[in-house]
Amino acid sequence: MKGPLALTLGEPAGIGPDITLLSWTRRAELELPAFYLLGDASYLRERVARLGISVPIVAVAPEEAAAAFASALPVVDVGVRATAMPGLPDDTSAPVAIAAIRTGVAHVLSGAAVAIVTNPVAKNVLYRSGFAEPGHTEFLGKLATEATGRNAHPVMMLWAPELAVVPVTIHLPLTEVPNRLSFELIVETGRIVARDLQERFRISRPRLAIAGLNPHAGENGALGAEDHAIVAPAIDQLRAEGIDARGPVPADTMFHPAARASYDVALCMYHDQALIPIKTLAFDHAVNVTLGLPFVRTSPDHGTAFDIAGSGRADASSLIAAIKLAARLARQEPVRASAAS
Amino acid sequence: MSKVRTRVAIATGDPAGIGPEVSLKAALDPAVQAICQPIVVGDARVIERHAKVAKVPATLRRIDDLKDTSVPAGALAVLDVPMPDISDFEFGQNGAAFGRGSLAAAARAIAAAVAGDVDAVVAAPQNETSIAAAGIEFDGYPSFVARETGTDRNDVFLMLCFGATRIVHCTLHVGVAEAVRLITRERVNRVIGAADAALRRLGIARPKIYVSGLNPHAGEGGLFGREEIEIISPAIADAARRGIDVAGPFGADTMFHKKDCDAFVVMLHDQGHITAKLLAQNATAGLAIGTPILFSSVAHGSAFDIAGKGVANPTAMIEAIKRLCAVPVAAAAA
Repeated sequence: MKGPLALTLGEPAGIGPDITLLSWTRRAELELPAFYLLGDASYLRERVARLGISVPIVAVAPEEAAAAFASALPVVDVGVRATAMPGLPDDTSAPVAIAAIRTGVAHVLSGAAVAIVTNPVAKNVLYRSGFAEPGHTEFLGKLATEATGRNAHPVMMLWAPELAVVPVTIHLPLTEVPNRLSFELIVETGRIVARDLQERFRISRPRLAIAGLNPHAGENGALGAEDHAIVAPAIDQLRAEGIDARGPVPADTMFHPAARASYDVALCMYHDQALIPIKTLAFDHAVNVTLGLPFVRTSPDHGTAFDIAGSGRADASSLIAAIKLAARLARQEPVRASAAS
Repeated sequence: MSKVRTRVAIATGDPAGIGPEVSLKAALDPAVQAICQPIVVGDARVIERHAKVAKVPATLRRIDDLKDTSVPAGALAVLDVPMPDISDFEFGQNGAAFGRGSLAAAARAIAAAVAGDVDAVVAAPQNETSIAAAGIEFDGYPSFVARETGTDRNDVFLMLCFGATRIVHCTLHVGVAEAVRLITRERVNRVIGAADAALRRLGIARPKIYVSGLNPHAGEGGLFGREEIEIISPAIADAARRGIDVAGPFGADTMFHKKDCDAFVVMLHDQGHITAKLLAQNATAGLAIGTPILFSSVAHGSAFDIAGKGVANPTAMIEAIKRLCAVPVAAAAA
């Protein structure tokens, strides 16, 4: 891997600045790769003072970041000042958070950064400012599509050493899930997951276990028609394309250790089906990885935690896991869930 | 007053599976013997055969009536519920007679509990293929117990129990689309009420209950669905007004990390079962709550592949019996 990782500021009033500073303080102990923060250096200095820690902040250009990393946290200015008090997002929150994401995408596409690690944003704060994308991941997909001219279909995967899961539908009311699930959506998601596990995670023949939507995977139609009408044909299609996919598997029987050893990633049909097992197995160290983008993007698997921002109580474990995973993916090291190796 | 031992009827489940074997092993377990008088319920010939093949050292005594007091000390009572014909009985085989037989034994045990002849019922694993072959509609024990006790099936819910964790399911064996239709303010109210009553019956004086949402992040303030705002929160408020200590709705993916409650109520089968099967693999009891009786099944299957080999593990059934006996024993000690 050549070059540093780019971390985005995220919501300035959230814990993003805190956990970035904490991660930097552990760089030697954890052998973290060089990274820089996209944001506002003077804002970061204020947070350092508030937290009462000793972290030198140095404003740099991206190409100076790697050399500066050993002795200071390098910050690349994104041209928007942040002014929000911890816990209290203000009018600068959305513009600075969005500017950091835009700059990060430009850097990773130009090669100035080898991967992008995003700190949490607050959806409602972005929405209030007129932000029109459903979320962070979709915004990254849009920026990638605009920059490359090729349609990016971002797919969210939550990864931990114990388990990797992909929710095929994510932040959707449950009542809309059966209608939104389609043969095309499952096939397209499966293709992207298989391709990126191969190309980015260096798993030569990724094994996909695909959950049924309904209890007991529909029990031959007795508990809902979607599993045999939609999920099973999609799995047949993926198999016909040479992808090692199996299912529909009853979701409640696919997460015990022996089951997890039989696949590299579980595709689940809705949010809770995927998030319950990963939060149970890896509450504080799961990483959100976006597949389907023309670059590596990871992020911690938690929100802005306004209630503890600036207090020193934030836990940087998930961001540290996200930084480490981004570096491994950027180096193209083989990465798989340990249960499956 | 002489000490009356808690009587637990063990319905032995599918004759061709591991049910009879784990029933016998559990009934003979010293911890079980110490807290109750177990009575094994099923076709006595089948049960005797399991005991012989699995080499379970039990002295069995057939009875036809629970009032029969002639069972000698050291013997295990077997309440005989004969199947018509067992001449072609084989371990690990499906058959309509077995499906009928397993439910006949369960029905007999439930009737005994309704009559007050036993204090609780534990059911060994059934086999759904054999039950279907018998042409009997069956979607799990909660609705079966409802039918056999004359309870409205909308009042009966499954509570999975393992360790100190209990998870009650607002909907169970229905597709996701149907589950969404079933979740009404009234139903959420009923499940909270059933959970509260069951916890009190299990000896918890002032139960505390947490309720999950249906949607991602419990709807996140209406962003990802409105059921939390329109159905679940009002139902929680209704229950709180009735004096129940209940809170929610919480996102189901983070709720289970909370430790300070006696039961969680979830909306969907998978919300509860994914958690239960991750955190407890062999010792989960499934209580059918909301009925007039104490009834539990075990959350594993009939394991045809190891039936009749003597290797089946009775831990889940022992745990289920201990759980049901906690109350009467505590009451007797008081």
